[in-house]
Amino acid sequence: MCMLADDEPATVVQIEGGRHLAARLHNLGILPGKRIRKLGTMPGSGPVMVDCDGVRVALGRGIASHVLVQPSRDARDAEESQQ
Amino acid sequence: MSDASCCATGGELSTEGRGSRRVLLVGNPNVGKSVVFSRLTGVGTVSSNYPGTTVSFLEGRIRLKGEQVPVIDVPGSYSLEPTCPAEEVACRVLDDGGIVVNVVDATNLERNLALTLQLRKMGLPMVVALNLIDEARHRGVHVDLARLSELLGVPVVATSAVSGEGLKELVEAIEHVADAPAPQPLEFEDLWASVGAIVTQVQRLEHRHHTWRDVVEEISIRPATGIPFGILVVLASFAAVRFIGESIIAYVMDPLFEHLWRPVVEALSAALGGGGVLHDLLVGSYVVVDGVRQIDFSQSLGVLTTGLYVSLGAVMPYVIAFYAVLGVLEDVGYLPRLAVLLDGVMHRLGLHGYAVIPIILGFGCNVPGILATRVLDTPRERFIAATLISIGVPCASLQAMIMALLAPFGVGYVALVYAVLAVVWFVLGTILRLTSKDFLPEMVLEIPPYRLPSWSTLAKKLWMRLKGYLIDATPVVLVGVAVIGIVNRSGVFESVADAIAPAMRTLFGLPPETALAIVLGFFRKDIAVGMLAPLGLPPLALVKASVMLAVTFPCVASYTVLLREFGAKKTALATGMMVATSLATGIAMNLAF
Repeated sequence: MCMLADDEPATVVQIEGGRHLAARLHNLGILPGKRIRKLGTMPGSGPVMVDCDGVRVALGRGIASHVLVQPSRDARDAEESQQ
Repeated sequence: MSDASCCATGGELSTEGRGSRRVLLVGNPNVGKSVVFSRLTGVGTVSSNYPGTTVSFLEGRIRLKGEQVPVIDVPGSYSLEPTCPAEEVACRVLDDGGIVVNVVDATNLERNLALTLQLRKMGLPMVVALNLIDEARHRGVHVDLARLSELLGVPVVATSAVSGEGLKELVEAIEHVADAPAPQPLEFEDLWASVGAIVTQVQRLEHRHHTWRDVVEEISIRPATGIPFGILVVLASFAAVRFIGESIIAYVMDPLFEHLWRPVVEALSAALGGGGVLHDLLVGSYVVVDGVRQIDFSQSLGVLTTGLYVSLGAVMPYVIAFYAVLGVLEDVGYLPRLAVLLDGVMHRLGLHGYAVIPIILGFGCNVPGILATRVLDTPRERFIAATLISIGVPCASLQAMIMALLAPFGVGYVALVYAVLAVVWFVLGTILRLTSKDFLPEMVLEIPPYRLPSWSTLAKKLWMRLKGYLIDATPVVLVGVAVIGIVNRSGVFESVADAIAPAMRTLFGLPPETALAIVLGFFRKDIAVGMLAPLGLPPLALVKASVMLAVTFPCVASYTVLLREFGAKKTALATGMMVATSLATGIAMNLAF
């Protein structure tokens, strides 16, 4: 998620790390299959801001790096190439 | 809970509050449980638009078919598998059973239902209050109540606690489930899949256009625009506090004291014969101001002159101003955004951004600030935050007096006090971060949507906090001034001052009289600053003395809370740091200026 460009829509693929982290993110509605949009990253090793279903969430960078996402553009490309 | 006056309700539950004949308000953070609680019980609570306002439980009572039943406002919880101390409290309360009122945010059904399903698994009697229903309608979120109730197997009532909508129906539903047999526990395989299935069946979203709120939300959350916006908000808040505080002093309190109270005090002074023990205790001594021998409200040191003036005339206006501005920031929902902006900076102090909220509360009064550190994840963070609050965050009373003392010499001196405190803060924070190595959990924080504050809620909250100040602080100031007056006559002060005078002068470059003020600061900071006024010190010495007062010890009330929250060992450690900090700061300032 850290490498995602600002404003780029994407889909959550997988949450790495322990069950505890996955549970915390689930609580905020971030789970595999969810569409998210990255709003930006705060300076000074600050958190990554994400919009998920109209809920805005701040995630520390370490946590954000555990969230694997697939940019929607790639997903569309993949679908097209399959066809 | 973020108010000193309601600490009493935050301890242990009464024995009556245990067992099954009670109502438990349970829900995710920031869904309005405290407002529902306040509506059901009539007990005033402090609620705000950010998660974690209630970090302990509040207890009130509700009348169910003529029977008084306890109601408990359980701290907000995302899940029944605790991830923070507030959630542990929630789980512990639920273990004892009761009638569950699950408060659910209708604008955010999917996330809220996870807790609902976990609660249903417990098989307790339960009602779902679908709160914030008016906002959900406004945003085009439609929920099929009947279907939701059918799927969950418990009654669902739509409510808007702020406006009062649906609360009568909620009470009726509670009465109904209280007498009915407990529902069968709900079984499910995968929690999130079940939540998803329910949401698709009951929720219908209407397309909506972007509103001004969305625009402001984006501005304040994106780094490029959010940082300037944040600086603007903080500066505007400071300016507003000063403007409101000064206006109340200039147009309300000063005229009241001068035109209404002065004649009374002068008559009393004459009746007491213009001197004597009782006269000095109540009225204080005459001082020469502008060449006239008169009673001076800030310098006479009588209970009815300086005592009343310090607490009501000088400090109360700023307490009102601070909490009015804080209330707006809280209810609009700006504070979590500030926490996000400052997360990077706070990491350098061994904290994460959310610690900003307890710290800001500390600027009003250290006591609620220290209590609010409960929202932080680890004991280490809590300790660092509480220590930084008690050492480097001047409360509203202290700030008001510093303002009164130094503003006449120029705002620059006031700014200098804050600048020195900021330096102390960063040095101490960095030391704390480096010495207490531990895992710092990263931020996972939901940013609540902006909400237009309700004026009546704001007024009620301001009044509760002001009442807390008047009840807790004013008597201490009056007694403190009386004690100072009595001790002053006994000559004890002079001998103490003589004893530590050499140390004060050589180490800190301060006249010995200031030592008394700093020692008295343990009582209450505002009287201590008040004692500096008659000394006629040059502004730089006043800056030094003000900073010393801020960093030395917190007042006795904050100390009690530190002790209760962290235990004797950690409080002793914090005390050691306070002594070291004040010595180091005093010497450094003496060398610098």
